[in-house]
Amino acid sequence: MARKILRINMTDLSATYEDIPEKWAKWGGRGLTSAIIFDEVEPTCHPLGPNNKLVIAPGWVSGTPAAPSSGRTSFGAKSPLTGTIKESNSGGLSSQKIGKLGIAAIILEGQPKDGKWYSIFIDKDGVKFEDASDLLGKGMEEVDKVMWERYPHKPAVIGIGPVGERKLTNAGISVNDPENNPGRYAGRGGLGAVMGARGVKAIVVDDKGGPGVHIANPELFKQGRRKLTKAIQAHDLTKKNGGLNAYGTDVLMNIINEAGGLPTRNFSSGQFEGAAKISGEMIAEMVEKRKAGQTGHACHPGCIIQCSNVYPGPDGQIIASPVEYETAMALGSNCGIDDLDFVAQMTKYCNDLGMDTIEAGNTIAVAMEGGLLEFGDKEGALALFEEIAKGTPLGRILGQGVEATAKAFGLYRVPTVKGQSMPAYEPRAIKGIGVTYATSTMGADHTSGYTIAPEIAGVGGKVDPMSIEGKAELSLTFQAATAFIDSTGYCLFIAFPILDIPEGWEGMAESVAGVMGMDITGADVVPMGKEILRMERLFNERAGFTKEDDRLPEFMRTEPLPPHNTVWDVPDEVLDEVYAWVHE
Amino acid sequence: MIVDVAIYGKLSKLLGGKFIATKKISLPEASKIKDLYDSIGIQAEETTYVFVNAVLSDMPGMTVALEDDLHDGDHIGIFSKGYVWPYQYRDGSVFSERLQAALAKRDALHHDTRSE
Ligand code: SF4
Repeated sequence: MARKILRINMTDLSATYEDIPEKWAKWGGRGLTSAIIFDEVEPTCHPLGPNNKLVIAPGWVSGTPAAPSSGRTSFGAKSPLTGTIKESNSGGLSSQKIGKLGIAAIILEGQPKDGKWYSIFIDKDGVKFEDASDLLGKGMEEVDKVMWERYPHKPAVIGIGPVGERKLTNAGISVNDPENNPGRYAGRGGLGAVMGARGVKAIVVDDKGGPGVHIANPELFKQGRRKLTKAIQAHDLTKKNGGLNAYGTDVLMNIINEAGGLPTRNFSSGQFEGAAKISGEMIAEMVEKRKAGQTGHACHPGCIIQCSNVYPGPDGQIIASPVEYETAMALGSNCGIDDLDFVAQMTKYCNDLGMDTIEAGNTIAVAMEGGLLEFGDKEGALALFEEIAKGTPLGRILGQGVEATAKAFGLYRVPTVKGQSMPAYEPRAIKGIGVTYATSTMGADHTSGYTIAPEIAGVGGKVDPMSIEGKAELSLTFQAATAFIDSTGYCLFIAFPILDIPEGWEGMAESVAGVMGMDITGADVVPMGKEILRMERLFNERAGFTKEDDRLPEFMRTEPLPPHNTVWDVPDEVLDEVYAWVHE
Repeated sequence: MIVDVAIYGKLSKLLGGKFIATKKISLPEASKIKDLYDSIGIQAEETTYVFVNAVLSDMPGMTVALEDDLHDGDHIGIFSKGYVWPYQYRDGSVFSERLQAALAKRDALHHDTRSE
């Protein structure tokens, strides 16, 4: 069965299944969300107004049998945090279930005329709108629980917490995991506020009896899947008991700290004396010592990397799942806090309230710099979360993220690009990633550009890891490859093995070609990724962004970062080269 | 001289840790990294990333830091086998001169079982 577009209009509460138009037919995941936003959303619209749309798309291979780690959903819209186009990507149960219903994308548009809140139930028989007033003000833990009680077959629950209901710009979209925890997030860019502005509290997806994903060329698909699986299983980072499986993403904490690139106390140092205490090694130790929780957890059925974890408290009760590197940086080192139990507790709070943990932690750090509390003050940080939960005026400012909070406190040191705060790699110490932070179509984002082994992506030549020569082309190639991977439904962590192992790269492309019946190979990955980037970049230009927005914050150019005492000195011309091709 | 050592992963057992161990270690003057390894019982091949005062001095599959001089008060961070610092998050960080020279002579590094 050909894939359909499910258009849900909240103004008249209608749902229609449309044939996928030719211009979108080749896309899935991020490629499809960006193509739809590019075609249907006015770039200058207000992100919370009637003209923005939320597009939800499973990747190309999501829902196919045994494609490894392929349950990623793309959420796209114009972002209220950055004002740019946005694709925010999440694990959890949604992608495979939407894919198995034969749906290429859900377009959520309009706003209820009656100002009411709804939940939406989607299954093989169609779409039902239900009054969600009983769920208002509820955290995502309860919403997930209620939905599993209300509906059979353990459905996917896509939802927003109170922060999304208030339409604050740090609102994320939660997706439940296989244990029905709300910990998988399309966190970045405030897309929870876009969902809230459509009057939708939750979308429940049950794929029971659905038609499944059509595979055009099963042999090619299987061949690709096999190669990719082999690469994942061979790579030191992604194999069983490899770095990610054993310690989770927080395996990077000690490495980045030793390298002097760990954001600490609102980006004022690259090393944190308490880093080891909030590292992945310590998570593994706690799981072992407390005889509870789990490392090597899968965020959706069929992930073979299993980087997720379930973190136990001192009494053996589960606090949160997962505790990730980015979160441990934002709520830990960047706030001067070296307590893993606290980081887990705050993660739980974010997951329940419906906030991105990176932006939330970095916001507390900015409030600390603004003098509202001291760095390292856990009780104070907790009290600020309570303000956010209650929706007090201060809580609403904090719920808007770093930039709004920095303005409210008159701060100059604001670690954001295009309104989005930086993830866990200090660009003054690790300059390669700074090029991507500056130029990404999404604002400061660690996932939008993965560095590539040049011989695999066909950039040619040997890359000197110490110099910035050739970094513009490299950064572009990384960003393009990432845009492609974000379209597949595969977890972006396959980037590590496939960029090291050529057969993995080929396998990824072949599995996509097999499902879609497209005539593509590994050589098409970067060009197709560039097509996606072009749409995103043009959208941003039409929204008013120029190359002058592709800059890191001024303070990073003048304030040396210990321990290396380096500043951000990559010339603007290098940054401008990254997207110069868009108009060629 | 006294140096400050942190070991991550399996090798931390040598200093009594489970996943991480830290210790101040006393060494004769003019000691090098290899002397530090000897005093702890580390085989150079068992290490991956080695940092001296936040400068990356060794990488997986390479053992170029052995002759690096140590000084009183240095901090040395040593990662066991199994760690990967993806170049995605590594490019543009600070490398030792010896490591830079060694890298200039070899092809790209790969992190898969082909190298074992
Ligand atoms: S590697 Fe981690 S984030 Fe990616 S799909 Fe698996 S569990 Fe989810």
